[in-house]
Amino acid sequence: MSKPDDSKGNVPGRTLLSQNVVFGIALLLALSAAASFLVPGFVSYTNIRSMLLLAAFLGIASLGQTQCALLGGIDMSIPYVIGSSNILLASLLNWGVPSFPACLIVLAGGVVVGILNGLLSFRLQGQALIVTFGLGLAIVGGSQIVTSIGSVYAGTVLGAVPSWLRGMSSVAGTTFGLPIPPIAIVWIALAIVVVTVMSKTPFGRSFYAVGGNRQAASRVLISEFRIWVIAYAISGAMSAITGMALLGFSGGGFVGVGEPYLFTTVAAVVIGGTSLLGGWGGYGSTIVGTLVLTILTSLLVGLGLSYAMQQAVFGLLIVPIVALYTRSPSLRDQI
Amino acid sequence: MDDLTGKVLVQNVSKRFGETTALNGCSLTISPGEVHAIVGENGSGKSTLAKMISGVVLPDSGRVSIFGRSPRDPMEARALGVAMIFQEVLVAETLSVVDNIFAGTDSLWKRSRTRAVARRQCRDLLKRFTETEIDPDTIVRNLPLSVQQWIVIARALLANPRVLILDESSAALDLDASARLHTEIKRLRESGCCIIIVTHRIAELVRIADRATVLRDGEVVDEFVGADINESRLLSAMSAKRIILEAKAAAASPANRVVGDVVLSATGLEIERGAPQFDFKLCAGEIVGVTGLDGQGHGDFLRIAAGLRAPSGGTVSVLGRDARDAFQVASGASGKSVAYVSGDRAREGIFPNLSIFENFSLPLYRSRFGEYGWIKRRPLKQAFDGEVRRLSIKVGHESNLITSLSGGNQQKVLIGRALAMEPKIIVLDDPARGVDIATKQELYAQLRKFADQGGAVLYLSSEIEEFFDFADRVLVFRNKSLFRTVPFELFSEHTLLAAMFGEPDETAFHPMREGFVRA
Repeated sequence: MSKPDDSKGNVPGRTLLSQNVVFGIALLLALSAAASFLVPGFVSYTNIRSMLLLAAFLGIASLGQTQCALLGGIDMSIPYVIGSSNILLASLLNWGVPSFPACLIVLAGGVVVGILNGLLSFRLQGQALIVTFGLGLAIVGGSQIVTSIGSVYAGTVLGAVPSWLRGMSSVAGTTFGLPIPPIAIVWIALAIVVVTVMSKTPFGRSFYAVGGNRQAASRVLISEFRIWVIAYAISGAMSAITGMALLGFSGGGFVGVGEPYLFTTVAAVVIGGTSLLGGWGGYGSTIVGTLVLTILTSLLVGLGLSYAMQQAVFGLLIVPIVALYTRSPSLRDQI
Repeated sequence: MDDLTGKVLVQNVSKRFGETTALNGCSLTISPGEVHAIVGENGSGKSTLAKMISGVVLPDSGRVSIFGRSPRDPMEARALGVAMIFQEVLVAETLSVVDNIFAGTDSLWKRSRTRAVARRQCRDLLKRFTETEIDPDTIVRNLPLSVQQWIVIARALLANPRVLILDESSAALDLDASARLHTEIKRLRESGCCIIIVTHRIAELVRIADRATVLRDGEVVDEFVGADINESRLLSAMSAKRIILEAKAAAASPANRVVGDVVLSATGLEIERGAPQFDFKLCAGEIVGVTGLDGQGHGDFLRIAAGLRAPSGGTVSVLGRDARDAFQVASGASGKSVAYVSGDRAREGIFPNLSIFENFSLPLYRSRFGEYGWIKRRPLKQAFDGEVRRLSIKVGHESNLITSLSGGNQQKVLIGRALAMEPKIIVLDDPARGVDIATKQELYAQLRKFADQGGAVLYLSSEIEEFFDFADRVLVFRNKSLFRTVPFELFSEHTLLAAMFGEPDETAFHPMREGFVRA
């Protein structure tokens, strides 16, 4: 719990937020500066567009993770739901289901998995990590079985991806003439809605109440159960959207497409400054975390590091970055 | 001067916890072969004193000497032969009986005794204490509380202590078991052990204590020896200086108050399975105090009345609603009927991650200003400013974190939040805990005003003087049931304490009620 510190006359409530934003933006600027200096072509038009695209995938996937983290929960099923949605959509399209109903089916599937995650992890208090992990594995296994019917390869679904979906997630994609990939526009719209709802509505504030003190929340008639299930349902829906968008990006269904998102969604949340213990932070900070991670990846790729090297550097860099963030005194007591 | 190195000496010790003084210049001497009782009200410093002798709490000033040495932590105290049985039943629930009893006796590499010997000793000890056969390998969680209590006692006695401290150790034992505990205590006394008993059960200590020290507000106010120890003397010593306060209370007592309709009624209420049933009615315009010794059911009653938990039997109806329904409506304090203010701010009151303003307005989002749509900031701000003024809360900037406020001001924000919900009934669970006198007085005045405007108040406190200027009657709980209702005209430290300690009702023949009783 954070300690009152009015002796120095500072205002913990406001400094907390601004400190994180300042840290995040400083880190962003430093990374961008380093990258544009070290990597030729980093500030090019194409590179910025491709970074925006990758940030959009990660940003959408981290949205649900942020909601769960605000309550002190975690959703480990995100990579598996992404992978499952990816191959499921490809298969549905192969089977001749029209695009729109196919997407709706996959989205509904994501929501159902999310609700299951929420129900089970609420029942089995404190076991969200293993519950969502287990359910994720079950889902990804199940969807591979379903999609491999009549095929010798499980986990890979080849077939024609409709052009509108490829356009959604294409680096060269445009939205109403704007040179921005449509999925990035979707991300920005989602971000605006989420940040507004979370700060301006009783519903949004309920997440902070439950994350801050669940006992006190129940005393003011906020249903912890409802909020908890909704958070996981949002996470399931966002994973499904990411999985579908990634199908447009890669052009073929592959179950392992979600794998990087296990680490990166949690990292984006933590780097942004949302406590995994609940109550502090929010999607606004996760956006900063998402951008930091995307630029860092781009920098490492630009430096010509092998995938193995990228992973090693990435992993090692996360520790000092998190350490830097948690220096903020009110957060230090939280994490 | 006789040899003091053979005794336990407490010399002029003081201890403060933040704002509150737990002990203020206490001295006492415990000789070997003596059973020394420490008595006093809740919060008089008894437990702190006991913990100090066992080295758990260190004095701020003064000195504790055990056979000439001053232990600085519980390990040192244990090396000197001090064993303490704490108020809470401290067992490792997931371990077996034998592991619990011999916890801490082995060193890292060497066992103090073989498993078979430990098992046999364990079986023998528990057989002696409980008079039943208990398998040493039973997991402690599966045993009744009274047996768990015996395990803790056995652990302490096993060390052959030279100083034994029992802090409310008979609380979980029934009468029969207490008698067996007394036998053990007497046996230890014969062997020259210094025995210190902290207890609420006065009748019990009269039978067993050789010497009794009375504490009040952290000071030793009296000491009785041998035959001088009797119930009425102890009770009056615990409450003596309060007579002035009582006189003041009588002058300001809330006589001739008009009470309105019944807003809450309980019939055949059973707090715990098997506890005596009782009825209760709360009327509009009333302030009803609720008290009792620790763990006597008054806290449970309050939670049942607020709808936070269900009773094991009987019905509670709030504002004429059906009992089941009433729980739902009242559950968690709705704007329509019941608001609940907890004294345990950290656990079930504040949101440490949110601002002062939001801590105030969160429940109002739902009750007064609609659950859906946007947060209506302007009316909330008006309500907030109104309560800040009414309760004179020192808030600084409203967007600061709630944790930037002092405890008393945090509590005021929570009370303001309850009042702003415009409830019919306010249920307060020890709200003045850790709050200064001036704030308390303001709180009483506000609650009085609330009652005068047709509200009803249930107010739990373990400090009985809180009720004097303020409550219309006090419900005293004992053994998980309503033991006695004391009307304001009979308020005194003595009558309330007597009820808390289960003394027979002397006031049954009070002139005011005599005609009534005899009729």
